[in-house]
Parts: sequence; C-alpha cells; structure tokens
Amino acid sequence: MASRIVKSPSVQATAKRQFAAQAVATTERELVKAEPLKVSTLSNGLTVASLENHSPVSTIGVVIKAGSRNETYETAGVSHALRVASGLSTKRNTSFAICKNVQQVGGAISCTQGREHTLYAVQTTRDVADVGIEFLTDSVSNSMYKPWEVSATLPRLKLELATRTPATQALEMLHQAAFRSGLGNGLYCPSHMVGSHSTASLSQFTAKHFTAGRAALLGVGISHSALTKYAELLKLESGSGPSNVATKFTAAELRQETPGGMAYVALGAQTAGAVNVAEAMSNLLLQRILGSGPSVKYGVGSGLLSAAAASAGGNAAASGICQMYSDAGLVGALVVSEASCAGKAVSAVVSALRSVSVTDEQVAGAKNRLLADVYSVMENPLEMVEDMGVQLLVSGDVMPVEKYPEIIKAISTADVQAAAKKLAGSKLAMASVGNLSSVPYLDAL
Amino acid sequence: MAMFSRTLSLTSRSANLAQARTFVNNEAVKKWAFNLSGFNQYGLYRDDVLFESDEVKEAIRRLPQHLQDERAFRVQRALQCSVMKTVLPKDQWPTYEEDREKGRYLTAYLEEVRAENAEKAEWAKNA
Repeated sequence: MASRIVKSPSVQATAKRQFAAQAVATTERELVKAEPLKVSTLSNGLTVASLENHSPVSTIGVVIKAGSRNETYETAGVSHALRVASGLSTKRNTSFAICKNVQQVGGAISCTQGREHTLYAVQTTRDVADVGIEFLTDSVSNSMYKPWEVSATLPRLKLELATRTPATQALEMLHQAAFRSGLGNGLYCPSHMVGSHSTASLSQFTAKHFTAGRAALLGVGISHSALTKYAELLKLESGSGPSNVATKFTAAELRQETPGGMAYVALGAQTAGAVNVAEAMSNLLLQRILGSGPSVKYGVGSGLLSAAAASAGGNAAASGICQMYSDAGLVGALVVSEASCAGKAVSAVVSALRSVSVTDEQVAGAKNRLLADVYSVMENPLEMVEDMGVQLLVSGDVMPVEKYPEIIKAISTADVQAAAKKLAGSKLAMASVGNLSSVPYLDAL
Repeated sequence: MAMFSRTLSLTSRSANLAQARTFVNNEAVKKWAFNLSGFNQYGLYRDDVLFESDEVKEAIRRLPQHLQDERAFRVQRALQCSVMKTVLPKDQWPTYEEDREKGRYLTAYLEEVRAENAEKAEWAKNA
C-alpha cells in the first residue's frame, strides 16, 4: 500500500520538482564581470593597456608600429626575416632557455605581423604570467640575432614562402600593384632577398623602429597594476621613430602565371584609411554586402558578388575584400575560378562592382554580420590583443567593446550607399595568379 | 701587542702566497713553454692546434667566414711544411705576443658552445 502511494503521480511529480529545485539551487553561481579596459602611458612613452576579464589564462603582448611598410628597397623582406627570427638568443638567455622555460610553465610565445605592426605575444596561466612576461620582454628588447641562429631560420622562411596559398599571393600582389612601396611591400620576403638578411640589417631595423613611442604593452587576463610593474622589464629606447611616407594609389596590374587549372584574381579600389572611422565602418559593411564567404559549411555564400560569379557558369566564387591601414585602404573583390570560365567571372564581378547599390535589408544584415565578426575576435584573446594593439598604434585609443553596437547602429544606409557609389566610380588595381588563359587585362575591363 | 704581531704574520703569509703563485705563473715561463711547444714554427696559432672535438667543430662552424678561411690557410701551410719535413723561415713564425693577441680567436665561441651544452645537460638531468 505504501509503495502504491509512492508510485502515484502526485507524489512522484512533487518529489521530482523538489529534487530539481535543489539541483538548481546548488549550481547557481555569480559570474564575475570583466573590468573595463584601462589605458595608461608611462614616462618613457610606452602605452600600457589591460583588460582584466578574470580569465584563467593571461595573454600579454608587445605590439610595435613596425611592419613591412617600413622596409626600404635595400631591406626588402627584413620584416619577414624578423618574424621567423623571433625567440632567438638574447643577451641574457639562449633560445633553448627561452623555449624550455616557457614550455615548462605551459606557455607559448608567438610573433604575428601585419603591414604596419608586429606583435609578440605570450599566453600562460595566470599564476605563471611573470615567467612568460620575463621571456617575452627579453625577447623583444634584447635579441642578438646571432648569425648562425639567423641562418638556421632560413628553412622556416622558405617553408612559409612555399606554403602561401594562391589567394594570399594574389592579395600580396594587389597591394604591390596598388601601392608599390610602403604598403605595397609584401608580408613575405621576395625570393631574391631570401638569405640576405644579416645580423646587422635585423639589428638596424629593430634599433630604428622598436622604440617606446611606437610600442604598446597589452594584457588580457591580468590586472593593470601588475602589467605596469612588468612594463619596466621592457627596455626600449624612448622616441617615436621615423614617420611613415604618405601612401599613393595607382590603378595598376600585376600578373603571375603558375601551373594548374585555377585562376585567382584580386581587384581593389582605394579608400580612406582607418582613421576615418565612419568611412571605414561603411566599407566594412559594404564588404559584407558584397560577400564575405559562406556562413554555412560547404555553402555558396550570399553576397552580390557570388551571384555575379555564379552567373558566369562553371565553378567560380567571389567575395569582397576590405583592408584597412592607417592612411589608406583597399576595398574590392577576390575571384577564384576555374581557368576556363575565369574571364567571364572576372568581367561579371567587375560590372557588379561598378554598379553596386545597397538596400536597407542588406545593410541591416551586414550590420549583424559585422557585429558577429567583432564578437568572434573578442572570443580569442590573442586576436583581441592584436586588435587592441593596432587600435592603440593607429588612433591612440581603444574602442571599448560595449560601444561597438551603437557605433554600428549609427551608420545609415545612406553612408553605405555613398561608399558603394565611391567604389562604383573608382579605378581598380588588379592582381592575377594562376592559369590566366582567359583572364582579361585591366585595360580591357 | 698580540694583535700587532698577528697582523704582521698575516701580511707576511700573504706575500709568501703571492710569490708561490708566480713561480710558474709569469711571462718568462709562458714564453719558454710557447717556444718549446713549437707549433708557431709551422705558422699556427694556439686555437689552430686544438683537438677538433664536437664542441670545437661547432665553434669553428660559427666563426665568421674570413676567420674560417684564415684558419684553413694556416692549417694547409702547416701540412705542407709537415709533408716537406721542414718548418717556416724564422721571420714568419708568429711571436708569443702575436699568438696572445690573434691566436685565441676561437676561445669566445668555444666558451659559448660549452655553456650551451652545459645548459642542455642541466635540463636533461632534471627532466
């Protein structure tokens, strides 16, 4: 009889509800809110920025305003050589010591480069962040670039050159065609300069550009006071180094025939740089309207340009490109196609670029995609550190993440339409890589 | 007074020690040993006649190219002398001072290689 009562639905339901409530009560906990971003400048000109998000992993980065843009004709490729030479012996530690000590605490040091910045970053757990920062700052300020160690990095340099995708090559060549020197310098060492970077040229490049006025120490997952204390370990000369030469755009063309059955064509028009925030944001939205790749795996992508490329028949895909630098930018398209229909695809994409126009719905969709992309960057602390660093170096200030939705909302369809109209009327630079049997020349487009 | 005598004995003891250290540790003895070993008669420096262990080989690999070439030349000249069962004319022998100045070109590189190997051994020991 007792068992019949226990099995009755009313008793069972009550018991289940009470057990469930108990379970919820024990697992409820309070989320610790991330602290706001803190930025300060030290007496020697070094900027320190930190975001304490109470993460168990600390990501510390030193970002320096030096990249391929700062190369000259004689020093072409030195930034790539510098990138593969990160982690070599310093005045105080051998490269073996740096590697082993950082490995021992479970950390990782990396070097990432853009055309205008170089980022050295270390990721460790919070409790051993001091070890990571010690070797990171040592690596940045005291590297000796010993000749036998630099020549031991050559195989890595050659591997990076050999494993470039054709799309990357097309984008590099687009920059070269459009900007020639400065921003036109590639992120990869030109083949005639491989092996010609000595201790002297590397040391001269770092001595000239690694100064406190062009550097920032960034941290995610570390307190501002701790980071400011560690900033003393970073021994950089004070000063702000040489200023950049102004960028000039030329609507020129570069072609490179390679074996295979595919053609990769990059097209770009000049825009204002990242300092013009409103125009930069409009161009980023325009890129998403033109198409920024498929959002569904194995999908086709839903941009204006994918429709144009598909109209050419055969296997062709196109997406928008938008590269922002401090004083100039490129907005345009990247077309990847089978060799036979490449010509039709490129012509269709160019006519789409020259007649681009946007609707409210497209702009709304693009705003959502842009916000999602921004939040994806915030998910990855390394990318967040790089983003903070680039913002600091370019504009001297970091935009807090909370402001992004309102900034994006503030852009009107008219702004994006103006950017689209500007693109439609601009001269294009072009770079083609691959089997170019059917790809037209720029003056025929 | 007792303190005085103790101080006096201390200073005299240190003077004796200093003298003991310079019994062989002086220029004349070093010069005599250098001339007796005779590698300078083949036109060689001290670092040319080091036994080429793995450490020395690595240090030579790290030498700047012009130093490697000069070393190769001196070794070849010495081999020629050895084959001809003769030595160089006396005016071509490196002097003791020249050997002190130029003959230790490899030492810095060798010390660095030894320190690196010791560091690696230390890590391997504790691994």
